[in-house]
Amino acid sequence: MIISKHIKFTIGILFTILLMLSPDQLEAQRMRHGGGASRGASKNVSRPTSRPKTTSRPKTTSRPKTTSRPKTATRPSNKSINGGHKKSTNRTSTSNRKTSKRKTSSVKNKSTNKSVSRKGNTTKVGNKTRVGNTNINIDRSKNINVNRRNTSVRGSYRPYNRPPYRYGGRGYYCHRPYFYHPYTPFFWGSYYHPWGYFVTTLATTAIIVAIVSDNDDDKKEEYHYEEGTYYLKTADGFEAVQAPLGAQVPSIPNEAEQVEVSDTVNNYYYGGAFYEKNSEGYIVVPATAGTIVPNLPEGGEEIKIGDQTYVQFGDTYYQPIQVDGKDMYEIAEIKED
Amino acid sequence: MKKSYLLVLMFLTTIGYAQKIEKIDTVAIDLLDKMSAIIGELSSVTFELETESDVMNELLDNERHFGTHDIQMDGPDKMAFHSRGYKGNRAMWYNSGLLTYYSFDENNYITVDAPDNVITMVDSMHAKYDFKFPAMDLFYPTLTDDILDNFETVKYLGLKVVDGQQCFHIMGSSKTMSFQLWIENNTTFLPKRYLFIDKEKSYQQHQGTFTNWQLNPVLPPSMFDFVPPKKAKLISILSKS
Repeated sequence: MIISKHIKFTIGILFTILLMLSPDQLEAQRMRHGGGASRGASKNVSRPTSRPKTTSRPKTTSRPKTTSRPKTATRPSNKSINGGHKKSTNRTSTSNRKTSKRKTSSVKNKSTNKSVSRKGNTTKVGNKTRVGNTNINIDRSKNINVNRRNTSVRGSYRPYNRPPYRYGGRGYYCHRPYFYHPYTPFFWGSYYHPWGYFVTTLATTAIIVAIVSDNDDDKKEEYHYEEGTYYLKTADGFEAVQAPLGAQVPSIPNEAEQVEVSDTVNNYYYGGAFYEKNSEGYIVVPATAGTIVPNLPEGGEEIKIGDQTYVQFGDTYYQPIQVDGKDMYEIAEIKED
Repeated sequence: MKKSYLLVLMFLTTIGYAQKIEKIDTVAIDLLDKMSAIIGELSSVTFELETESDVMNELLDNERHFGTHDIQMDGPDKMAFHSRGYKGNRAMWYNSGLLTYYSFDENNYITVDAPDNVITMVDSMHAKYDFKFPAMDLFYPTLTDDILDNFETVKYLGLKVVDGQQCFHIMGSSKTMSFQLWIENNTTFLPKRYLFIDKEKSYQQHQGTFTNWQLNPVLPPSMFDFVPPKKAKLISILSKS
C-alpha cells in the first residue's frame, strides 16, 4: 500500500515536471532529428511571422529598414542573371536597344572610311574643327571639303617581320610593337595653323596652289598656301585645311623634319603632311606605311581597334610606338585577310 | 536467307544506336543541367576568376598568358568586371543598356549602347567589337544544349580533386575542340574550373579557375555606373564589320 502511494506520488511529480516543460523545448528536441538543408530554410522563412512576441518589442517594430527591404522582399522572378536556365536549343537574341542621353563613343565601321559621309557622327575635335567619320569634312558648318586622297597610304617599301594585329578581318601591319601614349596634337611654331583655323585675310606672301578636284577632273580647286599651312577661301575669309596631295610649293618651313620612308628615300614632314623634294621645290605626297613620325597635328581621332588604340586621320591609322624611349607614331598598313 | 539478312540489319542498327547513346553520358548532362539551373536561379553573383590562355606569338609558338578577373553580375541588366593580365589593366561596367570599357593603362574609355540583358549584351558586344567576357560561356541559360550541339561526345569522368575541393569532372569532345569542366561537389554545384582546347589552333588551351563565389549578394546599383576618372578620354571604336 505504501509502495503504491510512493508510485502515485512519483508519477504525480513526473507529470508536473512534464507540464512545466515549454512547447518550444519539446519542439527543439524533435527538430534535431530532422536535419538537412530544408530545416534551416523553412525555419528562416517562417521565423518572422511565427514570433508574435517580437512585434511587441518596441525596438524591433521601430526598425523601418528591416521591414522595407525592397531587394529581398520584392525581388522579381525575372531578375535572374541570365534569364533562368533553359533547355531549349534556341539561342535567339533580342536587341531592344535603349537610347540614352549619356555621351557615347562614335562607332565606326570598315566601310565608313571609304565612303563620304557628311551626316555621320558629330564628334567635335579641336577648337573649331569638326572632323567627320571620313575626315573629309573639315568644317561641316561651312561645307568645306578636303580631298580624301590626302589621307591615303602607300605600302611599305620593306617587308614586315612582325605578325599584324588582326581585328575584324583586317591585319594592321607595323614594324614596331604597339606602345600606347596619349594623343596630344602638336603645334609647329607660330606660323602653323591647325585644320579649321579661320583667318579673315592672308599675308601678301601667300601663294595660290591649284589642284585638280577629286570629284571633277575638269575642275580645279584653289588653295592658298602660306608658311606650311593650306587655306580654302570661304565667304568670310580663309580656313586652314589638310595639305592637298600633289600641291607643289616652292618652300616649306624650317621646322619640317626629315622622316625615313625607305633605306634610300626620305620625306619631309610638317603639319601632318608629307613632302618630297623636287626641282621646283616640294610636292605633297601620300603617307607611306611604316614611316615613323614624332608628332601628329590636330584633327586626328583616337579610335579603339580591338585591344589597341590608334590615331585616325581619314584612311590613315597611326600606331603609337616608342623609339629609344621617345613617344612616336608609325603609319600602319592595313590589309584585308 | 532474307530473314537472316533482316536479323543482321536489325543487329547492326541496334549496335549503331547503342554507340550513339554511349557518346552522350546522362550523368554528365544531369550535372550540367543542375549547375545551369542553380546559376539560372541566381539574381546576383560575384566571383573571382584566374585564367590561363595560349596565344600565338611572333615565333609562331603558343605563349601562355595569365589573367585575374573580378566579376559582378546583378540580373537582368547589370554586370561589371575588372581584369588584370597580359591585355593590361581594364574594366567594364554595364548598366541598363549602356556599356563602358575603360583602360586603366591608357586612361581612355568607350561607351556604347548595349542590349538590355546580360546574355544578349555579351553576344552583341562579342559579335560587334570582339569583346571577350571571361567564363561567360558557362552562364548561358542554354549551356547544356549548347554543349550537346557543339560536342559529339559528352562524358562524366568521375570525382576529381581540384585545389583541394572534390569536383565532378565532365568532358566534351569534338573534332575541332575539347572541353572539360569541373563542378563543385557540394550543395551549390557551381563550376570550379574549365578548360577549352582548340584542336584547330595548335591545341591552344584556355583555362579558368573560379574562387570566392558569393551567391545573391546585395550589390548597390551605382557600382555598375562608370564615373570617368580625371583626364580620362572618351574615344571612338571601330566595329568588326
